[in-house]
Amino acid sequence: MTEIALGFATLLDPAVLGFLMIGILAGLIVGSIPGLNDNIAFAIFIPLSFSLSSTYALALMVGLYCSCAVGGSIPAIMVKVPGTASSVLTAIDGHAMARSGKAGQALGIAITSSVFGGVSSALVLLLFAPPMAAFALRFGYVENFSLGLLGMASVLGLLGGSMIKGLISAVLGLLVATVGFSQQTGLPRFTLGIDSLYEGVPFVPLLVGLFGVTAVLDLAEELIRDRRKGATPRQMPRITDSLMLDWRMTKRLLPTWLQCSAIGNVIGIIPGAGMLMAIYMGYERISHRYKRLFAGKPGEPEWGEGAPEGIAAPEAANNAVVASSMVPLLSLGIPGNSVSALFIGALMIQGMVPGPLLFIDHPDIAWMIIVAFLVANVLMWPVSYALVRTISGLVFRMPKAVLVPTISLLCLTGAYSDENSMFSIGVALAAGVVGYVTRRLGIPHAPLILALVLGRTIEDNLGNALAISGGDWTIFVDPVGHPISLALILGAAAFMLAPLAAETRNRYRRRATLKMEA
Amino acid sequence: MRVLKTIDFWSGLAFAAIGFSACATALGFDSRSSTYPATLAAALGFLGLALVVKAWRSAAAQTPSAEGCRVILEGPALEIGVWVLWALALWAGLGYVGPTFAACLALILRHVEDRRLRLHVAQAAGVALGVFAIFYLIFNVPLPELDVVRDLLD
Amino acid sequence: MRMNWLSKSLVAAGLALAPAAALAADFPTKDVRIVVPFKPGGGVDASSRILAEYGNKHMTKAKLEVENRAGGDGVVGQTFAAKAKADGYTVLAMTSSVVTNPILKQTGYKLEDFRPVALYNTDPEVIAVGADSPFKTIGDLVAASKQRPLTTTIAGIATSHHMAGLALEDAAGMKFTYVPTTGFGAQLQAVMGGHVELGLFPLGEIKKHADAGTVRILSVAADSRLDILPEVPTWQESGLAIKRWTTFRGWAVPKGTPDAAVKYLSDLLGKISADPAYIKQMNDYGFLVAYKDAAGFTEEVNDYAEVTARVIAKHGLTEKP
Repeated sequence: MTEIALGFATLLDPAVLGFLMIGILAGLIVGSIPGLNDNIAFAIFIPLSFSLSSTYALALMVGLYCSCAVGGSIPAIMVKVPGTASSVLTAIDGHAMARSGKAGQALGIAITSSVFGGVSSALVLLLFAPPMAAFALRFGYVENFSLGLLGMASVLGLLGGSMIKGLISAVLGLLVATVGFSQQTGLPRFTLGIDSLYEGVPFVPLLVGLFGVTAVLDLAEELIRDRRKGATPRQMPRITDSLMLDWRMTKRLLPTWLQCSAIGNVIGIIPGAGMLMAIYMGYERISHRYKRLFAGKPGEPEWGEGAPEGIAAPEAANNAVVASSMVPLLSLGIPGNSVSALFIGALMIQGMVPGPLLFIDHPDIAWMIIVAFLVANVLMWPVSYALVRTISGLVFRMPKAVLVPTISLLCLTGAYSDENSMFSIGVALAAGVVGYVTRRLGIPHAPLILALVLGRTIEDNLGNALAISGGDWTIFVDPVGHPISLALILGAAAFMLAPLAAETRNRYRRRATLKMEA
Repeated sequence: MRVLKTIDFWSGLAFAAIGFSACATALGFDSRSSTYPATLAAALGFLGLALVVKAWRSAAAQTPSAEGCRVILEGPALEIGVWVLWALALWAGLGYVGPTFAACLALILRHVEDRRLRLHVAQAAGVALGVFAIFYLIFNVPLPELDVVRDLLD
Repeated sequence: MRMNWLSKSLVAAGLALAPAAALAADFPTKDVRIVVPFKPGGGVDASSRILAEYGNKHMTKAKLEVENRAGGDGVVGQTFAAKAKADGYTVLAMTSSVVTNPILKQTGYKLEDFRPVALYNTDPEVIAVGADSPFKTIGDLVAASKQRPLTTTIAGIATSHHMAGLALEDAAGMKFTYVPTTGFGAQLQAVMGGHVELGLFPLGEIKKHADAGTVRILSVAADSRLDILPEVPTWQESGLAIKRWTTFRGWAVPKGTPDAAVKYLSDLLGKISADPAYIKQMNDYGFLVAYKDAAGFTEEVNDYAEVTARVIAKHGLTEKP
């Protein structure tokens, strides 16, 4: 308790609080600009932490880390261009909802869900960090492979339409992820002799291309299509309704928030699992719930065409990953993901190293970081509500003819700034073309993206697990040595079978209703 | 042959070609790093073939219309084309702001009906300078800008 | 008139040449960029930024600026620096991988394309185990590793740390099963969680975790016992028959850079390395401050090249035909 008080005492310095606020504002803006993300913004704050006192710099980073995902959902909903990778699924239902004249509600759901997920994970960080960290440590090569498998299995539940095309998408993603050096032998694969491919296809430009450039190409197509029809170009949706959620909506979304926050928190504390996996798993789980309870009822759109749960699930999950990814970093000194790894840089410059020693040598800093996550998430709520109209108005009031090249330019320049290399621009352009073409061919993108994220995890952990076991595959289902892995494998099997069962049940039920109506 | 007019038939063939050629490449890697990518690549090849077979069996012709092609050419293809030229200009060392302005102006003029040239020049300049300011000045990204401009801003 | 024109021209030419001459003497006249061939947040990036911070106190006319050029496991930035103008205004944050990359991979530069400026830090290799490990001393570990191969996490195949393991197998008859990971965080996770039996680390990456008691350092590959680790025996003392195995960090410039610029930068690193505040900040993190001038650094580079070339040749690590 005294430690928490110490954290608050450090944080409540008006200047520190001020930097936290600046961080929240900056995160909303950085997130809402396609092509800019928290990774890029942090790269600038790390050198800043020299000239600033460490508490200021860290408060700034915490604020930015928390609110970046909220910012990303604004362009996702308003223009269907995800501002950050975390809002790639939000764009689907969010934009559909905005087009139907409920942009305000969509943004309101995104903000409130994010705050709910964020606060839940800040509480986990504050109250349960030590036991959760002990749990995270149990994830070795065997468990991480099984977790990757579970992630891939979860995406199968999202496949509507052609199973073959879904599998093509997943396999293509896994294959692209093998580009670069082989971890087992250090030798390059599919690199075509290009140095920049040695560590794999640069990931940030790849995602920016797949999300941003593809979306821009869709917009360009829409512009031309409208013009050739002689119609005036359709304007972007505007906020015409209330941003506030009423009690009924809140009550309805509560189970979604709870489930996705739980998923986000568990995935967040496992080093290397990553935010996108949590988003997909939460989205998949909730899609079944929606189809069971709401789909087909009067006034309820189909899943993917403006369902409130389709915004709430990914937004709650992505913010639930934020603070929980700091659990292994602060408790053990092991970074939970690439963004929390950048906190090491900021601390290092001050001669501090995250881990148990930080709580002994610099308890004020350690507890301030923890408390700051809670405060940032709480402050984020009113700040986002106050700013969301301004941001979506300012940026998206531009004429569409100007908006389209602006988004392209932001995406491509953002891709460049990841490694300061022209090659990254090429990657983003190529990924955009591939994304656009595959979409025209009816290849779903969800499996591709998750496979790109998880491909390396799956292969590298498989190789290392087999190296340790001496080539024995039963290690993954060993109930004594690796019970967590066994549970994950069973979960993956259930994930693969459940959608089939649910589909059959729904079809049967719908047929029964139709018969009755007839 | 109606199947020849389906998109699935051709995309299936393309995936099969990509898959099997990647598989051939992967088999040339050292033994410890080739099994995994070779298996995936072969799977991609067979999935491509499966798509071809499926297109054959349920051959509902879905010829892309001439109109559709024109839309793609004038919209997305043009957009990408301009940005590829822009990237080449950057790579050739022509600086950042100049080519960016030109690319934005070209795309804006392509998408607007009216010919209020002065307005559109202002818009393109605004976008180019705005994005340059965000990345170069605020985020300190070493954009490939001409030395003249760099020195001017230092 | 004609003479007059000629003399005018001569004066003009003289004026044009004068700044060029002054340039060499008055280095630097503009900011010097330190190219870090990795993303922000790692050890090379952080130490470069610390250097820039302290270096700027000694510089009046210009500043040191850190620029990240990541990609290709360092190769992209290293190539960028090798091809930069040889005027002293582009400095590479040079690590040991500049020595091994051209041997191991198809790179666009050779080691000889660089001119070493000065060295500021050496990082000895350590053998570390988790806090719960049954191996209490290096003796326990060596005995066990002669019975069966021990699972060993390293930061990647053909890295300096992998080569250290191979060298130990050759010199001390130990046996390892290598478990490569990406990055030191993942290695730490494996050692702390007991997923592997030991890890080979650079000291700087693990010192603080050893202080925290989450890992145990059994032996360090330095010439003699370190002041900051008085209880830990050296590899030589542990009977491992390897005198030292260290990676290094320093500055290098493209071949052909004027001597005046090299001397300025080398002296600057010397001045920084004598600053007590700098030494404290580096030590706080676990970086050992070790200054060597251009000649000393060149010697260090050549030693390292010789040692690693032997391991690479013996174990066939190179991808080149």
